[in-house]
Amino acid sequence: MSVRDVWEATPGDTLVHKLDVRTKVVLLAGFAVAVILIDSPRTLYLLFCLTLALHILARSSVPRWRILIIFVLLGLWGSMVSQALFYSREPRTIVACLIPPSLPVLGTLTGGVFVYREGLEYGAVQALRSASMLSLGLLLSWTSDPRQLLKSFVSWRMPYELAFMLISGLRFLPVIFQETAVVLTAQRLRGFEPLKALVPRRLIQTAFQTLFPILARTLRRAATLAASVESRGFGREARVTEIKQWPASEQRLCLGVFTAIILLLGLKILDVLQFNGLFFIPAWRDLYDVMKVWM
Amino acid sequence: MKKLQTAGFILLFLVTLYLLASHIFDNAASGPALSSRQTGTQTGAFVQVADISLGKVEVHNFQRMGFTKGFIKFSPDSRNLAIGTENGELMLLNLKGQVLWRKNMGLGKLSALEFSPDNRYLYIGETSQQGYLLCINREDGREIWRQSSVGELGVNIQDKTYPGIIAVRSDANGMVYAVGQRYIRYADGRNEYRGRIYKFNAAGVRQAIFPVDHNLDAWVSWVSVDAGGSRAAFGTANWDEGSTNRYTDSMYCLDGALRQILWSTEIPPAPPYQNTTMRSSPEFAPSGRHVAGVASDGRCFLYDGQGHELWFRTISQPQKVGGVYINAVGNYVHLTEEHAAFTTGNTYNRANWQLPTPVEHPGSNSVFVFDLSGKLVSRYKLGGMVEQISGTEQTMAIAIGRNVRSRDVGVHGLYLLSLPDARLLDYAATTGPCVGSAISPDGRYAAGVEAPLQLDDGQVIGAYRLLLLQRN
Repeated sequence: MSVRDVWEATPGDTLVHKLDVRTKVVLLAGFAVAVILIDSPRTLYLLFCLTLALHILARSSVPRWRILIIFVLLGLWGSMVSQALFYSREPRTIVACLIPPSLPVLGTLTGGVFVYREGLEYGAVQALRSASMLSLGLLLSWTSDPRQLLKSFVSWRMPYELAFMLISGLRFLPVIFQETAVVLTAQRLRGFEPLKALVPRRLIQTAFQTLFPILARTLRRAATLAASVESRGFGREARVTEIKQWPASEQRLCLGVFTAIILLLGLKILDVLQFNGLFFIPAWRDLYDVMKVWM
Repeated sequence: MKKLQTAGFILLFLVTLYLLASHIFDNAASGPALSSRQTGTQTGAFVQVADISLGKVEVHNFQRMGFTKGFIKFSPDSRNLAIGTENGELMLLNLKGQVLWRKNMGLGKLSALEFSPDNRYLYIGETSQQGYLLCINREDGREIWRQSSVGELGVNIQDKTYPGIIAVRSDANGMVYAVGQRYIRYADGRNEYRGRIYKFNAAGVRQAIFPVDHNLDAWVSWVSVDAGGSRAAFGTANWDEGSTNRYTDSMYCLDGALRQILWSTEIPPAPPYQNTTMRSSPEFAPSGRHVAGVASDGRCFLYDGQGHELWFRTISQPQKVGGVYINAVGNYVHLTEEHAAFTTGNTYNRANWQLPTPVEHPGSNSVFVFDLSGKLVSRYKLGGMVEQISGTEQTMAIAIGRNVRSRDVGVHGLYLLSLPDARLLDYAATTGPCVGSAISPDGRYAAGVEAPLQLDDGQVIGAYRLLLLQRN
């Protein structure tokens, strides 16, 4: 499987592939709101597992799993490590000391560098949010034809220029990755080993040597694309190709998701009002109990 | 090579997911787990049956007055152990340490735990916007009924001064007695106390309430009932007693129907204290013939059931050393038909508990056993704060927590002492402070709860966990 094939949407015969692209966008949007509203690590973890289950359902290939895993791991560990070191809220519990405050120069300068348990937990919760969205976003992009996405946005009365830019960005993401691979291959063929030594100076040098060719090629491609769409009358009133009927069952599903999100939002507002001592409905105590555990 | 890399990434991903899941869903135990770092007890009189994680809790340090709690109680038939955690988890375990059921209390903070005498129900007190007393089916954890205390005690959700059921007792007839309390501290430094004592039958129908038409204007956090349910006693702890207070006596005894005060007594303050406070006493003997109590100033006493004073003893006299008054607070009572055991806690500076003290009070962190004539039978110095005492006629299980003066972490643990000679039967060391203890009515099992503690250098020792011991 080439780099481009890994990144671009491919047709498939799974339930996820068969879903109308508008349904997928609505589900993605609903999911995005849900992971922002929910604070419970349990629920966020289960939601993240749900997105992984959808990847299994969509029969994502091994190279795609590899990409997903790398991104999720980077996000998870990056967030956890950074929060563990820089967590500033109270209470916080020190689980390890990296630089003791008594250490000359560095210790005095920093006041000590510690790993905080609450920071690790907070970082994990934040990372679960982004990991869930990343996982679902990649699923959408791997199982949906960009042309169908464009038609969907236009059918929802999104300005054509905006929709076009959005889809172009999505469409060109695989191309950028492919070009990165080409640049790295070209450099290797010339005997250059970008990750041979992990010293900061060399890493910066590598970044410049890799990013400049990619940027140059991207700009060239953007100019070509601009000339191409201009020559085809981009921006003028044009008839949009008909989009296929949105199945009623999927519309009902989306309506259900929309209703659930509205309900979730309402519950969250209730929970926040209760937590801040502003408003409490005694008769709904059972509901508050559930929210305490799962929201 | 690429396949190897992919396999490595997948493995790392799975490990990360597993670690996350174990951390997130680790709020309650999943079964018995003997820890490798704990080899059991010291003398072998008891053996460790289970060591169960109770989840993650906020870690406190020596600079904090209150500490992490753990509510544990054996069922009257000595077959089960109920645990309520700081995280609001309620669990029922068998004596092998297996979790039979668990439930989350949700919004409420657990503040009391008691079994019904017929072993069928668990009564849970919680502090929340409604301050419920809940009756839970022992078999499956299903809620049978709940009664709120907010109607009497009120609530202010803005200031978060919530009502709560903070003590629950039951008698042999299946009646449940619960103390409802709400404490309000105003911005100008004034304190307001609201208390009520409730009596329910096993079906959750309220039988009585004391006082009938107003709240107790005293800090009441304890109630004791004799086995027959003919008398109920409670103590008060008003720190800023005003002239307008109605309930100014130190101890009250009510009839079983909670209709009238049978007797009450005012215990004059012991200088340099301005008032006499009792937080975890008095305690009735099961027969109702005697009632014993201990005041925070270090005086303990025994009364007969009719309210006649039998004797008073001082187990930790306030002392002026180096210009400051120091005292070891009197805490708990364990009263049997033959003996009375009283406990003292850490040494505090009278001016402010956080200020240092030149020495530790000689009467601090100890258990004193008296016979009913007032003769000191034995004493055992424990080294740390007595966080809870639970006992039978022959054995006491004592949870020893922090010593905020010496900061010696080596004293933490669950101590098992014999009665009346206060001989150390066995001792299960815990790394962190032991904050809860229980002993089964047949004396065959004991349990303790350890909490994590942050030392002054930032290091965290111990964990929130349960130890279950069995007599050999």
